[in-house]
Amino acid sequence: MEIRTPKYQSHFILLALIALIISAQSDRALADPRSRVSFDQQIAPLLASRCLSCHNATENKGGLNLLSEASARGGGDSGSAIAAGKPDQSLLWQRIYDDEMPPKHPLSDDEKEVLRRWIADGAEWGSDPIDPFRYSSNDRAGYDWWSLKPIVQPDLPWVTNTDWPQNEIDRFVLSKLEAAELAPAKQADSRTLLRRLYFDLIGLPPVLKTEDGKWKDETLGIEIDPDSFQYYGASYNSVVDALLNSPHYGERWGRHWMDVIRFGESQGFERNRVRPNVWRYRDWVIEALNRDMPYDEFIRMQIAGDVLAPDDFDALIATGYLVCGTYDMVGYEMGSPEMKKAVRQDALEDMVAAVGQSMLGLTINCARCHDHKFDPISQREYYQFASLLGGVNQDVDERKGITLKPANGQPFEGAAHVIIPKQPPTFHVLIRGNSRNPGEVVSPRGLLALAAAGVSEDFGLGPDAPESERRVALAKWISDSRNPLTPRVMVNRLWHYHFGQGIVDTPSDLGFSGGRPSHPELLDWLARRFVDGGWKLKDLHRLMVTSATYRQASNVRNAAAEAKDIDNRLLWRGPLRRLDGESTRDAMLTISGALNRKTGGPSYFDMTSKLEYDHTFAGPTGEFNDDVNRRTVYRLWARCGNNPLLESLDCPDPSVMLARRSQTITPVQSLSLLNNRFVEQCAERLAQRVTQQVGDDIDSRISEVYQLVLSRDPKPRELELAREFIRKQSLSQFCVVMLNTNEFLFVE
Amino acid sequence: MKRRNVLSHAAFGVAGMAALQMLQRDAVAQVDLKKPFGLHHAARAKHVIHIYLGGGLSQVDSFDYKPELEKFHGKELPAEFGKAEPFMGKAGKLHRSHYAFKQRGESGLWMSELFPSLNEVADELTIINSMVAETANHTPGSFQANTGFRQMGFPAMGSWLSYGLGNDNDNLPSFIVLPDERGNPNPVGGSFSWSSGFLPPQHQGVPLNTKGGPPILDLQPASGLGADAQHERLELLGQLNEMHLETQAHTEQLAARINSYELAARMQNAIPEAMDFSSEPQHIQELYGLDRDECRGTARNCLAARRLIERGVRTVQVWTGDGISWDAHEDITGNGYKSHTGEARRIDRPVAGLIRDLRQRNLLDSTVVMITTEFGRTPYAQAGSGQLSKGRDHHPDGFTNVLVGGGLKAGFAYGATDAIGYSAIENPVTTYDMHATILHLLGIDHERLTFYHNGIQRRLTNVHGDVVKEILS
Repeated sequence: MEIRTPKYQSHFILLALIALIISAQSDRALADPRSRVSFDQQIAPLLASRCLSCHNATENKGGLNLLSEASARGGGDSGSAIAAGKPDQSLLWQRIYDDEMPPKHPLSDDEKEVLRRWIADGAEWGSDPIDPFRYSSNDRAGYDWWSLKPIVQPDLPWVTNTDWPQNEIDRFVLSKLEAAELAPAKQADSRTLLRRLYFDLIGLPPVLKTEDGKWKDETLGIEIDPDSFQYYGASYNSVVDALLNSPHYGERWGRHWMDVIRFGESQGFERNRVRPNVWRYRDWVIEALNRDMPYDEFIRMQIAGDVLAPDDFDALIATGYLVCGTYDMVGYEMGSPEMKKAVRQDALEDMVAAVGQSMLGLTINCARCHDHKFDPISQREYYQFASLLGGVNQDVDERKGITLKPANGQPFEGAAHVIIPKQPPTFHVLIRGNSRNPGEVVSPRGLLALAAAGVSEDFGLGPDAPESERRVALAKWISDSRNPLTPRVMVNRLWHYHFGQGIVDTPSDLGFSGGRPSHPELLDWLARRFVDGGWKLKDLHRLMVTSATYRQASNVRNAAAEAKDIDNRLLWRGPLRRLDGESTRDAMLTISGALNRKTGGPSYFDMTSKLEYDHTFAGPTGEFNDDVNRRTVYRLWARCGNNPLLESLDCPDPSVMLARRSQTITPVQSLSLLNNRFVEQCAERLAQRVTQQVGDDIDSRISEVYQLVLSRDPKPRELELAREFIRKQSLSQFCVVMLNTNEFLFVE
Repeated sequence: MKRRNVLSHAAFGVAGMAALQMLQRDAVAQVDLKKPFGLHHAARAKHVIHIYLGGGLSQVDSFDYKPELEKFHGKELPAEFGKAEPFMGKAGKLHRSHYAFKQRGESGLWMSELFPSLNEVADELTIINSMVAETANHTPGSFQANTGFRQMGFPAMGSWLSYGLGNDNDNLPSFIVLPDERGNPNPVGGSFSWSSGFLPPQHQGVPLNTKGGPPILDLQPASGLGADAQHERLELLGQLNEMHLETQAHTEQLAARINSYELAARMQNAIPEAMDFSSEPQHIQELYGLDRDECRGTARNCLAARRLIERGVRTVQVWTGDGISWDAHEDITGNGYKSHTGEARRIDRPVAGLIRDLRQRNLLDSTVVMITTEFGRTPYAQAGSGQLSKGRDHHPDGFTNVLVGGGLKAGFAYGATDAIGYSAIENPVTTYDMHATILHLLGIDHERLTFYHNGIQRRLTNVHGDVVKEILS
């Protein structure tokens, strides 16, 4: 104390002087020594953000719990912490003054002074206990976390280079670039742009014929004027519209949704029986996207379509969303009653994870055993949320005997893999997540974290509320136009797929552990437009791909930008991406002319399988015919039935909820691309196609292969190398090589 | 740059160069423990061979000696030991061990006659008799034993090791799986037990074909294109890719793909070379039991495992049990399918041979051999109430895993179950603890080997796990 006192005094005198000077000029409460410190407005946030993560009810380090008035006044292992009216006799103040606490990140002088004055004024407590979720801190998100705030329409930023922006997106992007003293890249050339648009919007390569100076895609009925295409305007926009209106758009974007929700067509676990009817849900997703179903309706149908539109077969099918996850048949059917309960809890966690991450960008599932470590979700809220889904079972069975004869729309009779709702049991908080240890009873509710944005978590439902009301309440709550997460999550997903990385680079997690938005105002502007415009996805696509930001070249050097922003977060160039597995396979089929463009219907399967008690899968069948040469989205995505070629190209394990795919490069992948029977067969087909189209002339054949695979003519040296190779080997082996080139496998 | 990026780039950059040099040297990588190795601290071992017993090995019939069980034979489970929770719903009377126990080796470890050859290497073993699992269901149990989680979609331990430590030989995958050769394409729960989950797929366990025929899919062209023609193909591809590369501003991924074809070409030789036993002298082949019909399949896999880690592969997993044939519900001692007597005969000599061979090559000090199973079996018979049978049901509350090798106390038994082998009562060890300990031996702090996925920095051990320090030497 002898050492501390003089230092403290001089410090205090200095602060008091400063405070006097400031108070003479302003009336800021923080530094005004005459005003009383407000506990709720000043002290509680300080304690919550800087002290409570260690000094709370469960983790009371040093025996000190600052959560409630009684426990705070009770002090810790070293005795009383707060001596009202006497800061220098308060251990709390001494530790903070000495910068011992909080460890490594001491309080600022202003914060210290507020705390000191609060104690000096009598340390009066306010709302009790402090709500630790109320404020964000260095360690966790509170109710004031950025993604939970209401979406306000941001002003369009000011930019210097007013020639560059084509739409609002560009204003937001350019203003950040200009602030960093960076310039955007030049526009990509027409061939590159076309390839980018095709793969992005429909997942297929452009296969074009040049006639009368025009590029023609005969299959999709698209005609392009190469001269005007490079400019902003009708020519480019008409290609965008044609692609968005093509049935292939839904196939491409439906697959993205299936990644996010861990879509699988078998149960998984030991039995792993194939569910022969899940394809109807896959078709529903594709159709809904093709029709540009408003996204809020897209959500409501998947969560509660059967209740909201009871006569509508499509709405019933949409609930496949809830039941396409894994199902531990052995666990449910055998084992002790306790074990069955535990299996059920694991399954609920999986469902809460899928709904929370895919639609809300929140990892609610992390609060099963304890309060969420990083986001403002209590353990109790986890069970409240889980009880909303308590009537959903990932059954093995299809719903049989469906008879629907609606006044309008298609009648249906038969079986489908959709929800078979059951009235849930009463839900309890399970202490430490253990099903043997039930605590208090809970009612179905949403999350308090969204209440500040104006979406109430209270659905007026009791612990025994009817099953159907639970899901309807959940569906409406998620799709409420005031829900700030739902639109932010979805516009960010679209951005992620178009630009290679999201504005938030963790598209299924907008919580504390996720990324921070690189362009928060842009994200909100897009989200606002999305909701105000009726939740239309195609409008967002159009806006994104017609922006100058999107049309930037990727193949550019920019030393200043590389030094400042090597990850291209500020979008100073376009992305360079390896084709994903589906696009690789679909492109090979398209180019070779072997693609069967049939849409929808039962899945094709390319693996050998065996059903005894369990469904087991061995290697690929190697078939190459119209039945299997459909787009990869129509493959039977059985768990454990992965196709090795697709797997090597990062197609996901259907049990993993995947918000962004890896783009790995491995020797196993190279071996597959060179040696796989499928690739060889595509190459043989391509060789035949080329021979039929241009006849015997070797140079014409080579040029045709180049046009089909890379949409360009060969350069003289390439022609020379190709001639030499084909002389030694064959046209089809040349095609294998072409399908292995980087230029084919990457999209600029 | 984030650490995980460094690691994945290293796999194609620096390590790729190292592999080139290695190719010019002997094909067998030299293990040099003096060289500092380990991510967070000095490692005690560099490789893992995981022998997995699918179905559930009965502890009281193998490594957990319970003389008291003799006394209780034919009696109901006394209440003092807890409640019977049979998986299949039938709890019969307590049954004594089906095999005679004896103390083995100089260390005097108690082991039954189920594994006669393993008994001869007792002084190498670290026996953990106090394992506990969270489930009595095979699939979630084997997921947990292999990935740390009961649910699907999490990375296997071998994938985590690949992610954390990479490989010593880029011509081979870092995590290789050798399934039981008996037909079932997948063990229970299938490829998920060696999936890379949300880790990048280069860390995936690569299963080799152990049934005869090519060891790996797509190693050679399906059309049977000859070596010279393949070389020409690669040459043309290289030229085209290089010309393309010259026009590109951002070349990292593109160059990595060019490099990956060189690695692929070397893998084409390296995998068959590792799986070709013709250079192994007869006495070595016999040491593993390749000359014996009853254990040839496992013998091949164990010998392959040694050859693979010798060549630098980080983790090799040997699956034993046709699906789950350690699952002796009906007859532990029978001769038929799903009997311990039959299954033990298939693995005893090969596993003991592997341990001896690693020892004589000075590889045992730098390798951890794990012999694990998803859970144990009930000390009571699987039979109607008041009855006896020769079968036992699933049991997660106390069972045995065995470790061998680098950094471990050899000839040592740890932890204990109660008097009848029902519940672990002394120093219980969870799967999390087991994984934490293996990672520790390989120089990894299990709390610091993490990967961000959907909101969490995920780890192999979830939020649990303590290194079992007492078994470390």
